[in-house]
Amino acid sequence: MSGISDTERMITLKTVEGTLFDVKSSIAKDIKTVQAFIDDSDDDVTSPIPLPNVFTRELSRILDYLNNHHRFRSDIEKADEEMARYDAEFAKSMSHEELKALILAANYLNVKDLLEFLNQTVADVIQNKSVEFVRNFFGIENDYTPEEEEKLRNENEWAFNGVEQD
Amino acid sequence: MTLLLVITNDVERNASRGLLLLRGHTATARTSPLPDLPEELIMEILLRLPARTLVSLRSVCTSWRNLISSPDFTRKHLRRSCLRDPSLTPQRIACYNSLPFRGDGVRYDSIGVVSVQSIIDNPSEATKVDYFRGQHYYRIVGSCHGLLCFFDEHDYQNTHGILWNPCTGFTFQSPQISGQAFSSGFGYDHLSDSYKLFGIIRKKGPSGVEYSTRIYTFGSTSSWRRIDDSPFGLLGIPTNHFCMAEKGVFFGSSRACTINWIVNHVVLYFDLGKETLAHFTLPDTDSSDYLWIQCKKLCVLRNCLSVCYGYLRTQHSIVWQMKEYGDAQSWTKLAMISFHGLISPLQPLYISETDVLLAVFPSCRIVLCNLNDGSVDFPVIDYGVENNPYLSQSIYSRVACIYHESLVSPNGLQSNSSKMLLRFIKPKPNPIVS
Repeated sequence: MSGISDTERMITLKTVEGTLFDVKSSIAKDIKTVQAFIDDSDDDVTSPIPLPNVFTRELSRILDYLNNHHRFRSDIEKADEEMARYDAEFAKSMSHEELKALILAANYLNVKDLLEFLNQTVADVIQNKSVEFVRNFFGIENDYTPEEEEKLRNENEWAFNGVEQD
Repeated sequence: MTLLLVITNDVERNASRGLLLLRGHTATARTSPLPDLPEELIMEILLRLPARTLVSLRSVCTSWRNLISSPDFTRKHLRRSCLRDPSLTPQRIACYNSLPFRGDGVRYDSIGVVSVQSIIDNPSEATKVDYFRGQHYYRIVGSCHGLLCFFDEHDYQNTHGILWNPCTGFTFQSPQISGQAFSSGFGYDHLSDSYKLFGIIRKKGPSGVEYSTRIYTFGSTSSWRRIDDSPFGLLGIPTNHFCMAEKGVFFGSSRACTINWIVNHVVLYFDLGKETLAHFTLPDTDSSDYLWIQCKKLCVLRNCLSVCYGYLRTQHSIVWQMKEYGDAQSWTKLAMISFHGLISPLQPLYISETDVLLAVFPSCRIVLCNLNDGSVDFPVIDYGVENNPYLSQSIYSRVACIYHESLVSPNGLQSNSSKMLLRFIKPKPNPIVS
């Protein structure tokens, strides 16, 4: 355990719904958007910092992730193993919609490591999936004419070898 | 693969960029649909997918096609693969017949492609060969950054270069040059950020056969240029004793980009930046003196120029690595491969992290040599010949080259041929056995 944790300054974050979260300043450092807000303020930040783009569900997940990663890092011996297990569980616990919402929140709050991890999670989800699956996943409208799409598919037939059936 | 693309630093994410939003944005209700992921995030996600997956995802929508095909994206993807995740551009071996006709006069014009990873990981499980069919016979020159380069010599009077990215289907043809390539090479020049095709062109002139050294830089307006340097003059070897490997080997590092050939007992190299020829000595020239040139094979292993000597009488091969490119003192013996039945020279292509050397015989038969315990394995390859009318059973004179599956096409270059020069041959389903 870190010795300074008891006396560490706390920051309060406020979500869209108005939920307040008390966060250790060492954790807030990893939330670059919040940290920049603190750095930009002339006085000590005492009132809650409003996060008008972040919902309670996402912020609570992000803080859970950051708290756990801080804990793993303080225990060098088992860090990698436990972190990998935690990350796998963390990724599995979300629906596709929740995953996307979390990416938007992590991007807005600029939590680098988490965003990297989530981007990789999405990449793993869509790898070897059909074009239709990917369109659905991202909510993308197909703007090709049937002829164009057919032509593109014929030209890239090789790349479609090995794509999983939905 | 050595990355030589100009590396620009990622623009550091500006930590305070969210502040305006933080202070002024009105809250959206939870009930509203989730906004789409912005393009910068889509790009971050797509950069984590292998090249082949990305080619299929060009079909998602036009903006994805434009993103995945953009030079900026392909460059970032290649860089990410080199620095962080080689599985984004997995390696494949392209096998090609070096004779345009087979015994019965049928044109042989298909290129077989197999996955290196699959061969190394599961040598006892059959690795399938994918085939591409050319318009006619193309002679393979080399590969670099996922691009394969050929000479199209179908009319025996003139030739032109063809650039092909098997993963994206991109093809580009150079202008024609009269004559035939006696020796050739292909590579990337990081000084000019361009791909160059080198050829020593042999042509019948009024006073007999003439040789000229030519360079073509792939680009929409470029033409064949003549270079003053000639290997004959440089090495002072009379033409009738001159023995030069047909295909040059590309070597790229941050210090040098060269194409290398074995000529008699030296390595001749062409500096792609300076466009000059020079040479250095091969290792162990005393004992290798009697070696036939076909028994000396150049290759690049673990980012080092390497040479494999095949001693067929004693049935072993020795692989040397040049630790410091261009410094003949730095040749170091990497491995000795010895096995009963070694009757033709080995061409090494790749060494895995687990010290398995993948090499091919001139017949294109693939062999795996475990450098830790000296064992030798022949992986099972499913050539699918019986299902494919284009494929020859006579595979005795083939060439193989290794390449990365990438999205690269030379900067800003568009395919310039109306028809697909090389086409994937869709495998016929196996007949159902009743």
